[in-house]
Amino acid sequence: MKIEKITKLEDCFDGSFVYCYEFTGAVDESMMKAMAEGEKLQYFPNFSKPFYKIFTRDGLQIKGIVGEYNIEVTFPVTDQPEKKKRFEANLKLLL
Amino acid sequence: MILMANSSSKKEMNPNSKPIPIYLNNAATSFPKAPGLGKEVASLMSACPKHPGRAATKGEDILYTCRQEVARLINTNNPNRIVLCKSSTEALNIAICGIDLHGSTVVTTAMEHNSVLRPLYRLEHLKKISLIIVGCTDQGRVNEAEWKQAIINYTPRLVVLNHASNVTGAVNNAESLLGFARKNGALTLLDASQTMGIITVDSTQIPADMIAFTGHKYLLGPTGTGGLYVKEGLSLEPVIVGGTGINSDLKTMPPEMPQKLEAGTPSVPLFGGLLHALKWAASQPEYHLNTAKYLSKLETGLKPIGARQVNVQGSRTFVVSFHLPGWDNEDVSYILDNNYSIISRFGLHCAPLIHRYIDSSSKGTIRFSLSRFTREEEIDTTLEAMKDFRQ
Repeated sequence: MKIEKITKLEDCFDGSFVYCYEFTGAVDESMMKAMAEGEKLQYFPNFSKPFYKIFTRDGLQIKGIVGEYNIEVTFPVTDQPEKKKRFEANLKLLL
Repeated sequence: MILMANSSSKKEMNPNSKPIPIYLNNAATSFPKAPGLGKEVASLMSACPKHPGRAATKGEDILYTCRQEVARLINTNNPNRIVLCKSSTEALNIAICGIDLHGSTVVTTAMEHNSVLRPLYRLEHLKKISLIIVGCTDQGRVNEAEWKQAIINYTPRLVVLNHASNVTGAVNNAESLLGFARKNGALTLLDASQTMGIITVDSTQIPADMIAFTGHKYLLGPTGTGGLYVKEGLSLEPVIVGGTGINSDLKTMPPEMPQKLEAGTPSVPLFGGLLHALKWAASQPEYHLNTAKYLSKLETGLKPIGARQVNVQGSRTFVVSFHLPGWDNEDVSYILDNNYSIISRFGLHCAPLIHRYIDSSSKGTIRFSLSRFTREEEIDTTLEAMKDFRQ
């Protein structure tokens, strides 16, 4: 699986940065768990496709739907470029 | 026609298939548009341009006919007082920046959209105006007593009033509020972005010197269309200057309306699309009763799910704003979109001040906004989906 597209999304709050990462394949449960390793995971299985949200120690919020081809990542205002770079490097290792 | 997956089939939905969405974001822009709109715009795009006054071709002056239709809609008899522009935002800028406000006070409300607030903030920042912002009720309707007091206290040169809130749908009594302002010497500007097409905006009843509107919301026209009605006798200075196709030897914009305020080549195909939508809507029977019924069903159905709704009484548009305790608004919208193909909107809705007054979370609200095309089955499916948030 590869990253197909990264799109900056609109957000009308506090200057934080939200990006949508689209992949060539679906983000399944094992991929979700890999992204959440060592981080705080919220998992909501009651929807027709489960929703998850990961809160990282770096202050990022990653959310997605199991089985979908994308995730949304909110980066904090401080050190945003470095944190984005680090996240993308780690993400590539998981793909 | 919108197609959608019904509630009973959602569990069996192919995870990779993308059904045509249930669109509940009509207060942002309407979908679907007037039937045949796309075909009309495409046909005008591929046809030989006809723009009397600029090109020596015969045929209908689409821009003039479009002005006529808008004039009919707002009940004014001079189509040349309708300035066509690309959005309500542009119309509001033309109005606010076209009046000499130097050293004066402007009164507006906490209901306003940034299309009103930001031009006013800029004038305030440039020290051209003093800005007074009147608060609103917990329904998102202007506090009438405070409005009247502000007008008495500050004798504004201009007042700007939102006809209806894009956040709560509450409609203001524009006749009374603008009437009071005008009686006290103010020029009056009405932002009818959320009402044109669903609520009567009659220039003979509402004492508005200017009315700004957009074509792509409830008028069911294309994005890139909007306009400004300017009352007979009121002269605005142009904000944008340039070619008009007439009086090209003048160094200034021609004094005639609407050319004075319409520099640059207009998008005839898009205004042809708006014209098509206006004619289509004029030919259709009343639809408000069904849409109001569906809105009521949606509100009633959201209550047992625990949604905290802004409870709007009286005159209103087809909007419900709420938040779900325990959930982030953006997550609710995200799940509805990605899991159920239901399009809503979350956040401040470009109207940041109103949230201080209504029952809103720190991150605004989730908003469902219906249109004449919303079907009862879509409301049922939405309510079924919302039940899944009771984890």
